[in-house]
Order: sequence, then C-alpha cells, then structure tokens
Amino acid sequence: MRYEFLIRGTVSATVRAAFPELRVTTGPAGGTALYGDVIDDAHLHGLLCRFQTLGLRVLEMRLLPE
Amino acid sequence: MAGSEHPGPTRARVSAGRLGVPRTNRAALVRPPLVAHLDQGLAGPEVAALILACAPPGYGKTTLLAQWASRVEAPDRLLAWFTVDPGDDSVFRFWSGVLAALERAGGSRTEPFRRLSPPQVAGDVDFLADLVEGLAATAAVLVLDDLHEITEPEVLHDLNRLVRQQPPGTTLVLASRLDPPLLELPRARLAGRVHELRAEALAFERADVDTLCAELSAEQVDRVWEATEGWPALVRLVGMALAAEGEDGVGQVPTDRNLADYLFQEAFARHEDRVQQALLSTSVPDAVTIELAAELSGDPYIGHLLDSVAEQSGLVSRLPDGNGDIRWSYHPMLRAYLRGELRRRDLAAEHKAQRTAARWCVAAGLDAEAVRHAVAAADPGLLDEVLRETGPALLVSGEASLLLQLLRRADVPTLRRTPWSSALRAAALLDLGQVHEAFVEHVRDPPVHAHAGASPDADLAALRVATWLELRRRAVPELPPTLPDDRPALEHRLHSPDVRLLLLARRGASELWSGERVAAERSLRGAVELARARGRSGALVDALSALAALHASRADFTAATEDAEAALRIGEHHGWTASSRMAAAHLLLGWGAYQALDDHTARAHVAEVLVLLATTADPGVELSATALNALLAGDGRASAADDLFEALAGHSAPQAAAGVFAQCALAGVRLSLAGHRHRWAQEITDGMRARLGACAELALAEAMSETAAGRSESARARVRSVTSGSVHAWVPTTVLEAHLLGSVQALRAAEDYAAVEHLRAALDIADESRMWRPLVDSEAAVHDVLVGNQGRWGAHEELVATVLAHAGREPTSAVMLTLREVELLAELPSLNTVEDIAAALHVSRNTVKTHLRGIYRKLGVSSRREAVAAARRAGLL
Repeated sequence: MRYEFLIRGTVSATVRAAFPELRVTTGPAGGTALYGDVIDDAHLHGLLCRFQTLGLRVLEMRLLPE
Repeated sequence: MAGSEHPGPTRARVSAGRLGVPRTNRAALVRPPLVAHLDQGLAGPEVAALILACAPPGYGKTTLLAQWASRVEAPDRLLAWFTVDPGDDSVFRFWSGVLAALERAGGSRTEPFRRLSPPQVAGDVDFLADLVEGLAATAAVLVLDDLHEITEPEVLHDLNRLVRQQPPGTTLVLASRLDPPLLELPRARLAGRVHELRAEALAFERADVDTLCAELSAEQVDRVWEATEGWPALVRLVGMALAAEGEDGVGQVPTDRNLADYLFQEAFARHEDRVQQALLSTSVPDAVTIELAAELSGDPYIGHLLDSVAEQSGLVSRLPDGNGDIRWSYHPMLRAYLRGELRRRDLAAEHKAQRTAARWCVAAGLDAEAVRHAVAAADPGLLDEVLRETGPALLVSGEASLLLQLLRRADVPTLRRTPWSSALRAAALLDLGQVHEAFVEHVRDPPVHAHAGASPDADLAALRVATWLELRRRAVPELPPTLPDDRPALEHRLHSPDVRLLLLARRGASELWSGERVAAERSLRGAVELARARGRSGALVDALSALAALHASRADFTAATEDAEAALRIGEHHGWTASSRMAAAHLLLGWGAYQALDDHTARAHVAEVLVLLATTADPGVELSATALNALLAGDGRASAADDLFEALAGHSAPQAAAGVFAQCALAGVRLSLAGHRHRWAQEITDGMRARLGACAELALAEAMSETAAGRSESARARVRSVTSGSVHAWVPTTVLEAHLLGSVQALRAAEDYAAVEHLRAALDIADESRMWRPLVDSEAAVHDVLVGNQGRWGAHEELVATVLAHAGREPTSAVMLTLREVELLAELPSLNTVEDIAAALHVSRNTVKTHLRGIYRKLGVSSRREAVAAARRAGLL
C-alpha cells in the first residue's frame, strides 16, 4: 500500500527525520505532502499517532495507486 | 508445593508507578475552573457518571486529572488510578491492573476486590458482576489514564460491558488521546451521563498564560497566546525558549510553519550547546535513571539539568521508581522532537546512544529494552552480543512471542542474519509450537565452526542442540540425523545459566520421549530447580509438565497431579491459560482425575486441551488427549472413539513417544472391542506390532482380541507372559489390566482361586499408584468376585469398597459380545429360523443355540424379540 498525507504548513528537518520511511515534498496547493509505502493497517494508524504526537495537523490522507 | 509461592488470587504483576495518582510537577498550573468542571461530572447517588478526557498529547489531561483526583478522595468514596501501558493490551493484564489499582486505593474497603481473580478471556460475566458489585459498594471513582494504549478488541469489549453495567454512585474517568472505540459510549451520551473534556476546554485561557509567563510583558503574552492557541505543551515550549534566553521572547510566528515544529526549533535553539546535546542523547530511552542519563550524555551533572528543565518547562516528569530511585521521562511530544532532531543532526550519535542504552539495559536486566535499543543501533555485532546475554532469558521466561516480535524488527538488510538471531528465532518459533517454521530457520542457520584459535561459542552450540532435540521429539522428518554439536563437555562450558536451563528442559523432554526415564528425571529435576531459582516461569511450566508426564508414565498419578497442578498455577499467574504451553499440564490433570474416578474434572481438563490443541503441535499430547476423550465418552461407537481410531491410523501417531503410543493404542483396542469393531482392533494391533515390536501392550491387545473371539487358551498364555514380566511393559497400567483380564479368563475357566490371585495382584498395583480406573471398568463378574471375597482383601478392603461404590453407581454399559455372537445378532431381526441361520453361517443348529444363550445372558433378556430390542438400545444393531 502507498499512502500520501497532507500536513498543514511546512515542516522542519527534525520532523522529516521522524518519518524516515516517508518522502517529503511540497503539497500541490500549499502545505507539505508526505508519501511512501505503508506496510499494513497497524503501520498506518501508527503514522497517524506519530503525526498527533508531533502536534501536526493532517489535512488529507489518501491511498495512492500502485 | 508451588502454591506457597503465589498466595492469593493470581494476577499479572503491575509496577507500583502506574497505580495511584501520579505526582504533579511543581511547575504545573492549577486550573480551578477545570477542576470545578470535573467536580460536576462526579456521580450522585442515582447516577453512573462517566468523565471522558479526550485530547491530543500535550493538553495536560494527566496533570489536570491528577490535581482533581487528589481532592476527590473521601472516606465514603474510593479513588483508584491506573495508568495503562502498551503491555496491558490483554484481558488478563488489563483487569490485573484495574484490580491492583482498586486494591491499592485503600484500607479495608478494598476487601471485595482482594478476592477477585482477573479473567483470562473476554466476556467473563461473573467476574464483571463481582467487580460491578464492588465498585457500587465503595462508590468508586476509577481513573483509567492513557486508555489509547488499549487496542485489542477483546479488552475493549470487556470495558464496553463495564460501561454498560456501571452502577449508580460510581464514576468512571477515561483519559485518552483518541476517542475510545466503545459502542456503549454514544448510548451513555444520550442518557446524559457523560461529562466530556476535550481539547478546546483543556486549552489554556489567556489568564492561564498570564500566570504561567508572569515574567513576560503583556505584549509578549499576547504573542504567546496567539501563537500557541492555548495548547498547553506549546506554551511550555515557549516557556522553555524564554527561560533559556530570558530576553526578547518569541518572534513573529511565520504563518506557514507548524506550531509545535516551529516552537520546538525556537525553544531548542535557545539552549546552549551542552544542554542541547544532553537533552538529545537522553531522549533515546523512554525513561532514564541518573546513571543512564550520565552515561548517555557524558555529563555528571545531568541530574541537575534534567531537574531544572522539569521545573521550568513541565515537559519532563520525575517518576518515582518502585525502589525509591528516580527516573526522568520526557513529555511524549518533546521526546518525539528530540529523537527526530538527534537523528537529523547525527545518525552516528544516535546509534552510539542506542548502543550505550542497550549495554546499560543488559547490565540492568531490562532484557526486552536492551534488544530494542540494540536493533535501533543497527550494529550486527552489538545485536549478537546483546542477544547472547538477553535472548535465552526471554525464552525461558516464556516471552518467546515478544522475542520474535523484537527480532522481526531486526530482519532488515542493515542487520544481516547473525548466528544468535537465527538460533533464537528457531528456538522461539519452536516454543510457540510452530515446528515447521522453526525447522526451516534451524537448517538455514549456518553451523558454528570452530575458528582456528578462537574458542567457539558454547552457548550458541547448546542452544542449537536444545532446538535439535526438540525438533527430533516433534518428529520433523528431514532433520539431520546427528546432533549439531554433541561434545559431552558442552554443558560445563556454558556461560549463561538460562541456556543451561533451556538445554536441561529440552534434554529432559527428549529423554522422556525416548524412554530413558532415569536420565529424564535427573534432567527435569535439574531444570525445575534452576528455573525456580532464577524465576524463569516459561521453562518452569515446561519442566514441571514434563515431570508430570514422567510420573504418569510410571503410573504415579499422585505425583503427576501435584506437578501438573503446580505448572497450571504458575501458568495462570502469568495469564498463559490460553497458551499451548498449558496443554500438557491439563492433559495430565485429566488423566489423573480419570484414574481417580473423577470424570467431571477429567472432562473439563480434556475440553481445555482440545481447545489448546488448535495451536499446539505436540503429537504425543494430541494423541493422548484424543484417547482420554474417547475413554471418557465410554462408548466404542461414539464419534470420540472414531477420532481415536483416526488418530492412531493417522500420520502423527507414530511421532508420539512409544509409551504414549502404547497406552493410547491399547485404549483404542479396548474401545474397538467394546464397540464390536473387530477389524479396527486388528488394524490397531498391527500398528502396535510395527511400531513397538514385542511388548506387554501388544501381548495384551492380542489377548483381548483372542478373548473376544473365544480363543481362550492362546489368550491366557499371552496374559501370563505379561504378568510374569517376561515381556517389557511400556506403562505399568498394562500389567494391572493384564491381571484383570487374567482374572476374567480364570473365572470363565471356573478357576476361582486363580481369579482371586490375579485380582490381588491387580489391587496391589492399583493401590500403590491410585490407579483405580481399570478396576471400576472391569467386568461385572470381576466385581462379583470382589463382593464375594469382601473381608478377605486385607489392606485393600478400603480400595475394594471404593471401587464397588463407583462400579455400582456407574454400571459400565459396554456389553462384551464375541465375534460369533455379533454375527448372529445381525441375523436376529430377520424372520429366519434358527435352522436357516445355522445354514447361512455354516454352523450347526446347536452352535447357534449356544451363541443365542450367550447373547441372551449378556443382554439380560429371555427372548429373541427382547434381545433385538436390547441390542438396538445398546447400539449393537
């Protein structure tokens, strides 16, 4: 599974380092897009919790076509 | 007895730090409006109140609830606090924690909770009813903090039930980062009994920021408040930033930055470099003691630094340890940022910190933590070193699944397969009953070669030997035929006592399997002693179960029951009731109860084993459980008996230990004959001959078939060979049964004296080992002899009385018809005359009449019509 998450605003290199499994680009309409392979459902929910722990607001999240 | 080791109901251990109201930080802000808001949520006498504090990390849920809770406690109200952690995500552990919290809450009022045992599986209605009653009696306020750690549906299901049944006068406080997925919650909301406290309410007011940042100008406070939107942890971060510099405060927040991210950078950058390094390096473990912090940071004054950060920011908490030591723990948000920053700045420094933490955890005996850090350090050499120290301990403590979970993280290209990770993975898989996977791992594992000059790792070799022994016992067909390393001196060169323990337990089980009882007893007793001394419960349960099996194979059911009970108690204490580890103990208790004529208990244990069988792959346990189940069903035509015949004919039976196979096959033959399935009996006997060769069990099986077929001379000769001890008996039960059959044969031949002699010998064996079952199950004629000679059994009088009482109350239903009689019985429902039948069977008219009389006598009837009816009732037609 591949997922993309859209985060409000820009993120620092510290935050990028906290998501070594995701790649970071600027979102198409502002914000920051993080995307990459998600192993399973548990990993997905774990990522959401990590966003919450870092105080990041998730604006969008979607499954990418393979 | 092990009973004295664990007094009271069995519970999982819960560290004291997670029970009771946590101490709040001195820097914490007291927020009276919110405390008052919570007070409104308290239950009145008619209301079952539910307070839900639900917000992302950093909103001060715990701090607020702790401040409130310390005020709420009153003589007529019990206040209990339980901080949930990821390890509580099982029914047994969760309820253990809740009960421990309630008990700790205080004094004599907690009496109702002291008696309760946490359930092992979800949906224990009785337990919940008792718990609800206790909560009602104490007007309890139960706080469950960090409830988001619970994700297991079973646990949530139970919690949901508690919410549904919550009694009036009690208050349930749930604090979580996520809305708890409880179906009962919306209903409780509709009923108006939920009092919610969400992020919006928990955010700081402007006045709170004023209080907290008293040293700032009004303008600066404005900026802080705007920037943070009142998110408490962020205000703290600002506070940290300001405290570090003390001057101009935070600048204008750029609008395109994430607040937390931005504030962390601000706050962090303002600290001097020494402090930054210290904070970064100490963020690696979840909590640090003073020694670990000093080692990680290389700063002897780190304690002082952490204390001052704790005081200024409120983002570091001091946790009292059980032993009075202090541990510091970063707020999850701060920790997440520190770890990210450490990784970004210097991956090598992070790995170094992980290595230090791993080594420190090894020395501190924190096995799982050590492995976790070693994996994160991404250093194969270190991982192997750490696994060597901690892996065997985890294994013998019954933490194989945890070990596998940890090793799975190490299964990445950067950490290539190391000898220890491979060997431990195989051993752990085997411990969980995944024999095939374990075998694949075992053969993939490269053999340990002795390097020139370097001494080979004896521990690793011993671990591989232990695995090989167990794989052989589980009869893996493609296993290499020789021991991976069979140097006899191996045992004396072992470094780790846990490897020694594992080797002893596995070797004992293996010796038992191959019938070396004396050696097995020595190994198993050694294993039990070592496991007790080191508190290694997994190996202790295994060794005790194996020892119980050893006793049972010697027909000493008293000792077997004692050891199996001890194993079961320890297993319950650790919440392993649903683990395949417990199958053997249940099975042996089942056999013990069966031999002691307690069918009810025996059935309960067999039912447990049959459930656990789904996950175990021990062919001996499987076969033996099937046999016991068939014997308990009692009817040779029932489906339980079919299962046994199938198991005996199936591929797993030959893998069971010879003794187990002999015993089960004999039970199969007896049941076949009782069910008049003579061909089955023949097939099983053939199987015994092929697997066991000449032995007492085979002789007895043949004697039983011959007796059923009326070939009494040959049958008596075979019985004599068993009772005289001229053939080897795998299990003592066989000799007892041979004496009973001998007694029956003697009675048929009208040799009453010989019958009594056989019975006396049988009673001797039965009395010694509490093996009463065969006596009760024997024929009515034998019981007649027992009755007829009452007063002449000497020391066995009591046993005889017991046997007769049981035999009278539960008459055996099986009617023993001979082969000829069964053939004849099939003809009876037809309209054929005796002459017709005689012609059809190619026998004389008189022979048919003799057999008919035999059938009438055995069925207790006097006419052909009654015989047909009785035979149909008994399932013979």
